[in-house]
Amino acid sequence: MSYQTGQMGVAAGISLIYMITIPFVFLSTSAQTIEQGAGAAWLIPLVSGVAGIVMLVAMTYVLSKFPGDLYTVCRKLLGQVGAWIVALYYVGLFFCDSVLILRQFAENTLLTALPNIEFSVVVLLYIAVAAVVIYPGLEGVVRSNYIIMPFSISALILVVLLLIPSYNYYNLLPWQGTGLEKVIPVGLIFAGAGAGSFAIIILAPAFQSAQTMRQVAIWGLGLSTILKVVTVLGFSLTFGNEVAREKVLPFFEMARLVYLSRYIQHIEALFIILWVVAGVFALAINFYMGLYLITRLLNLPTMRPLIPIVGIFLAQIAMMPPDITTVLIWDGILISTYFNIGLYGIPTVIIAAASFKQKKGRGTKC
Amino acid sequence: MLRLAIVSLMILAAVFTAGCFGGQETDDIAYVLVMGLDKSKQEGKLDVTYQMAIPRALTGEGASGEPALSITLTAESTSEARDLFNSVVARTLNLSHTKVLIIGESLARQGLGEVLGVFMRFREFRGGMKIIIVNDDTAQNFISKNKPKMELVVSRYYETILLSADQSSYFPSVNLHDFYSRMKSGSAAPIAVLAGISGKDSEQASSIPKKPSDSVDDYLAGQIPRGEEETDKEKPNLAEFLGTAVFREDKLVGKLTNQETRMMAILRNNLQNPFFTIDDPLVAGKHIVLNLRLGRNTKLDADIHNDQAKLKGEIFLEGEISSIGSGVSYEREDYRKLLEEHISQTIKQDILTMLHKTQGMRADVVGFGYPARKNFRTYNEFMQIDWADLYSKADIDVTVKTRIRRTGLMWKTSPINGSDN
Repeated sequence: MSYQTGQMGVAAGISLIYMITIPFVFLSTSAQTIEQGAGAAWLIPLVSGVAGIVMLVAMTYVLSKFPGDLYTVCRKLLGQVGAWIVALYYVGLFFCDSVLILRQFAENTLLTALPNIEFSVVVLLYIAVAAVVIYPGLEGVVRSNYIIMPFSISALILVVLLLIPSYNYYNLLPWQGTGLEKVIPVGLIFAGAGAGSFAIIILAPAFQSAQTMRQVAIWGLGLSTILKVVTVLGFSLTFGNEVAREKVLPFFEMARLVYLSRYIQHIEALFIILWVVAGVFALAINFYMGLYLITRLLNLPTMRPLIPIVGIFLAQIAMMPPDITTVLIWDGILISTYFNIGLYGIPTVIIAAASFKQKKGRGTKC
Repeated sequence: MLRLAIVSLMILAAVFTAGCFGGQETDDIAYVLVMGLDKSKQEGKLDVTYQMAIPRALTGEGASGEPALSITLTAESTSEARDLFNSVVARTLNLSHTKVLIIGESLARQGLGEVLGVFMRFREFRGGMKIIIVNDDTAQNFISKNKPKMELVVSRYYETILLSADQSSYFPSVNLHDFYSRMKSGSAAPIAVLAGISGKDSEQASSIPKKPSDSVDDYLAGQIPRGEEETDKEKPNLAEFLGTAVFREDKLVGKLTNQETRMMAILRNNLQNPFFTIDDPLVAGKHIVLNLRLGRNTKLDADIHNDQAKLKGEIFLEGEISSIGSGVSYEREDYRKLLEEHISQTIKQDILTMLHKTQGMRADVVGFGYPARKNFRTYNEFMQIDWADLYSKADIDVTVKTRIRRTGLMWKTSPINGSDN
């Protein structure tokens, strides 16, 4: 069947998680993070990352006891109906993420690079490119991204380093920011933004073992967390709380502030390519995961006929919100509610069911 | 067949997508290099001046006339002026290469909060744009009278002069990002470069009272005394960059002279390697010239107890003797220590005078408010205080240490044959 994922190792898994979680850096999330945490904003992605790693690692333990992908495991532990509900929930999560990414990257393209282009053309171009990217299958997507990753990580770090002359280290004071009692819960709530990393649990059979998945969870989410922390720190040190929270596009603003001499300036155009690539891959992988789950649920032989239909459907939904502010508000609401169910709620139910089943199994043997 | 269709589609895509939407040729665009803003004589309006490069005038063949063109339009906002510009010049206005924002004093005194919004929000403007306030004059006049002789491109002139600010530390180099961040932070007062046209107020040059510790005169932009022939407006460039415009929130509230600006630069770690002229401690009426730099970064600290702020600055200077007018052997250890102590006391006094002046303006130009944040547990607690008020009443303690590391190319001073020394 064409939707089969192929085999993935640790590197491919890290690439997968990187693709899903890295839009944080290129969208408005850094600004929202600083608004919530002030000088301690960098703690928010750190807490989110640790929470995500803990939940993912816990799930890999369940998979080591109950082999299979998320759907199979849910069918064993929660029954057929439960498995359907969980699968449909994640279909919703990935499509929601696709819609949010599609709209935000389209708006950002208009804001920064192509202000005169028709909005619907940008949306359709993004979804068309994402459709082309996923057409050959997941293995090609993650491997392509794995090749691009070193360049994109280097570019990201380069911008942060080039801004060192603009840093004001006092911007991190008071070091507790808005107060640790507020920052840590916000970090736990923002963790929902990384709920898409559960893709590795959905694609579990593609990985060699639960041990591979555990490594992917730790290294993939760990790398993504470090990059998020570094970006928020750089953004905070450069702009300070009061100005940083005003920004729609933190990374773009950082890149356009680079001025080392009259010969090293106006470099943001180079970085637009970076975030367009990141946006396309993030959109593609979310699009793929939603389609994969539908194909899996309905036991279809291939997902390819669904690609254009679902693509147009997602593009239509992405164009529905009247303005970018509405999108950002909905992004915040969905992360703190719907996405957190996928990160905390469902895994907790599965882990509880697994331990109950294991105890029950031991009891029967006795 | 399918392969052929795919290849054809890819070739067509490559042909039709290899461009950009809204692309324009460079000869359709007027690149604004400098933008000036003034309070208009018409109530509630702005005088917006655009200075653009004339590319033809910069080329070798056929080069003629002025390399830049200035146009001033009166409008309700800068955006409205931009639209009106479209009816005046054939080319489309492009602001993405604007290097400098020049603001007239009267508009600066009225407040820049409303004006600056568009510069932070509109994609063509950058935080790296330098911000200049014209001393007692309009931006329009400054732009029209500023005729650089050594640089053909006006943007290059501004970039060069503002990047060299740390050489003398007689004026700061402030960009829009710094200005806006300070305006919003509540931890420091916004500052900007002070510029002016020479000769406009030449009478004022001697009007700045000289402090007892001063060895050299203090000036503001436009007040540097020049030779008589240099006031001929056809010859040299009359523009000057000297001193600092000081803001409280978004309004201009005062100015620092070149010497005060240098003291501010010491506290802000922006002192590169300028010459200091100080009185000879042993021979009245003679001067010693030193090349001083920061031996280590200046340490700023601020403690707050019972609504009383105590500010501290620790400065370590090191330098080289450039000239000893009196001929006293300050190279010798005993004299050198005396000179070091004298330099430290002179600079400490000048720094305190500058800080007390800014306390009177309720404007923390140095940024003591940033280290003051450490006194608070959370950001919201800090934002509840009125830092400008605390700063104006703060106790200030500055320590200056100076070490003379080198004595130039001479290690001792021989007396002039036949002189009394």
